[in-house]
Amino acid sequence: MSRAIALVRNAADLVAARVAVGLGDTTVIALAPDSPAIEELLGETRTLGATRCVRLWDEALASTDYLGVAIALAGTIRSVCGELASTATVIVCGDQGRGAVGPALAERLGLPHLGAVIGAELVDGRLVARRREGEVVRLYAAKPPVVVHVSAVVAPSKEAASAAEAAGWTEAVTTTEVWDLAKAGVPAHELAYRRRYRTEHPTTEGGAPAPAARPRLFSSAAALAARLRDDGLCGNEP
Amino acid sequence: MANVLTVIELHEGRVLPVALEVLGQARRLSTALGATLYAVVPLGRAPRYGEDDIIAVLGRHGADKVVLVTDEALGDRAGAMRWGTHGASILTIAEALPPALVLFGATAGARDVAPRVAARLGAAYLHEGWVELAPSTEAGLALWEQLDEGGPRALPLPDGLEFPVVATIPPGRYELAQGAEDVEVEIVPASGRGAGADFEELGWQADPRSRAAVYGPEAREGARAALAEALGAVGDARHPTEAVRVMVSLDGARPATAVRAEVQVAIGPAAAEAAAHYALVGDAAEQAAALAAAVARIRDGEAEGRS
Repeated sequence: MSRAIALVRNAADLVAARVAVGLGDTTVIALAPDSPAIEELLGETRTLGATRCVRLWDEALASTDYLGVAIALAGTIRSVCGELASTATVIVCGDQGRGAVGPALAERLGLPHLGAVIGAELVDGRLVARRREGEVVRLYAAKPPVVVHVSAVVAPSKEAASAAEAAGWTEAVTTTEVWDLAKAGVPAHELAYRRRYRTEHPTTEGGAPAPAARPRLFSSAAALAARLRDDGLCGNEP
Repeated sequence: MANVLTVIELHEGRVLPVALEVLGQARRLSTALGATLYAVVPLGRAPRYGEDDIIAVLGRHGADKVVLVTDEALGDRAGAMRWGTHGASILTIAEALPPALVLFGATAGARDVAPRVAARLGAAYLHEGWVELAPSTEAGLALWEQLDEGGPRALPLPDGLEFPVVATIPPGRYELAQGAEDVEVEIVPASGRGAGADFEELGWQADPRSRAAVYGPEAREGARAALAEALGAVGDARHPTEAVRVMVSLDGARPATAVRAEVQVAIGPAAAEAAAHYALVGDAAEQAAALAAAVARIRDGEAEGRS
């Protein structure tokens, strides 16, 4: 028996749910305030085969940073799933935004983490994950519980849904459980201090001007090609 | 402010250019703020006599001290940064030299490792960051990050830098710095403690999918196709389904796509204004053809050298 947890915040994270339902009985945890968009997203995860949907929100989450989010998710996952090691559990995160929550969550839960995953399956009780490195795809394996961060994969959802249906995971779930930090067993003050660590769009004049993301200019195509080679991006590896 | 750590990533035994750029900006900050700049190099073993080119390079580019963190667990994998192989080395140094700033070049590996280092240190984390001097502020510096959408976001530091900050900095953002080749070196064993449970590497497969994506208008289809082939794009690279390593836009702007790329290149008359890492200004079709030819020459040269 395997179990998967997909962490979603917006439609771009649907990829996490797609991967999760291919791995086990899937609980989706959405970190978002109530809105039609998040309900629509959770509805899509149900269509994919998710058997439980939890929407976690608390005002404290609106002003915390990546680590505060990871603290909240770690508490929620423990509350929702109990002992992670009792069932092979794979936690799947999307790769949008900073891509920092997955590694931080793994750190909070003390689990292995692998980022930039482009595919994953359970083989003989171990999660075998693929990710692109250089000119090849490398294979990694670990015994769950683990955390993986999946890259943007716009794979057809039918296959995942069929796999979930064949395994008997799909049940008629139509409701979303609404959780706050108290229900997740996470004191809000554990997140409050992280407010100081959070970046924000400048709101007042007089501060340092915002930097501009200007590219490095290359004088010739040959110089640019040489830079890409030195970056390890255009050679004949391995 | 005491210690600034720059984590140095290697590719085929050489320091990645982005790591030297990060080191350059760290040099300027450290000089202005009176900090000591450490270049932290995770290695499988200490360099032998005659193999110390990395040390000289890091000294020439501004490091005050080079810390070679040796960990047998890295073996010959020192070039592919992962938490399981590199995490223990970085944490060993972060504990010995409590940092104000820990800076990484924004590579695929660093995007995995840097947030976990930040979480372990309880640090603030900046994605695609800027670390700028700001002499008029309490901290003496201004820290920003760039997320996928929206303009830069600032890390407020009203009372100075009171906590550590970990940042990944994209390629092309900063200029190199100069320093002394004769640099202090310390070799620190990572004590083989490991950073915690990790994935085991099973092996590799040939990559059947795109590693590059090239976008451009219909009128430049020929140049787009030639460049896509040279960069190793397979299939319809205009619509990749996974993260790619290189994304090139021939209309001078970054393509509007959720696909993540390690390096974004803009080519065209207005490329200098594009939100990309690298730019080649000029006629897009001509420059794309020239880049395709230059990449092909590199590949052919490497293939000859290996045969």
